[in-house]
Amino acid sequence: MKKAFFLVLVVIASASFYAYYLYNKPSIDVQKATAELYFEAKDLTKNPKIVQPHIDKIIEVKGVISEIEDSDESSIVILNGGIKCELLAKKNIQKGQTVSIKGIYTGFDEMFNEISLKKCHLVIKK
Amino acid sequence: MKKKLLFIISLVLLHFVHAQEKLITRTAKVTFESKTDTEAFSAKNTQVASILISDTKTIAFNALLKSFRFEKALMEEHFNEKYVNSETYPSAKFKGRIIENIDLNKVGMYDVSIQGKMNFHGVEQSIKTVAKVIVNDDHTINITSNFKMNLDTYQIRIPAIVKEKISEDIVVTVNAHYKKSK
Repeated sequence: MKKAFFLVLVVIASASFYAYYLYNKPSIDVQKATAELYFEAKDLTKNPKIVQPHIDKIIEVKGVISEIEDSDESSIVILNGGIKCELLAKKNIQKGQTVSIKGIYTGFDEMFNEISLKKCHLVIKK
Repeated sequence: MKKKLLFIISLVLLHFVHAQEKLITRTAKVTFESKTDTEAFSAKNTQVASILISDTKTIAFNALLKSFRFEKALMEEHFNEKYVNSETYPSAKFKGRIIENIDLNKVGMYDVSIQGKMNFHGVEQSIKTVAKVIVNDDHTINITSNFKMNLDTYQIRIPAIVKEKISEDIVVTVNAHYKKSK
């Protein structure tokens, strides 16, 4: 009887710990995670629809930097004139450079017709 | 003669097209905050796209809801899936204009009102808000504004169980730095 009571207590305790863990779980760390899908920027700008079903997934895109717009909180890097990647840490990169960037795909921004990625990081190939 | 006239007319028209100066930003910052007695939280989107046409003083914003960043993963998930339904309504849009008769080519600081339409969660709503406009020496323009959005107005239903944790009026802060588009 005592044993059963103890068991119930353990179950309740672990369940609440798990709930607490889920509730406080921080957002995903893109830098540590590996990309689920790979794209060439030129394929994506030609046909943005191919990435549409993959919202919320970490994707990696390789392309040429066509523009960089800095603010005090982040850097927006545009690949091939049509993919907007937001890097939270400023990096030493330049227009015209070919880079691979991974980030979370968040949709299509109709204002400038750009595919949008957040929490991006440069992928340095070893 | 007719040709000449047409040429002159097109020149005049071309002049008007040129006069329409477009300023843009991709790094406008939109944050929203909710604060109740039991819980406070905020989220921000630092990659909001916006256009400002200086002569007509019109402004347009497009904020992808999925681009908002939360501290906690679960909040981000609930926000997108349960409250704003971002799969169906992917962005919050605003289109409006500065009502006051100010010259956006003249360096200075202006307190203005912006009136326009907010489109969010499938609901279009007329809003009017005060804003601060700064025309900088390098002719870039800063606009900051702060206003409240009522969840009920935009048909966002908060379940009774979390009602105490989420405020009915969300405080939205907008911060944009516009540069001439190339």
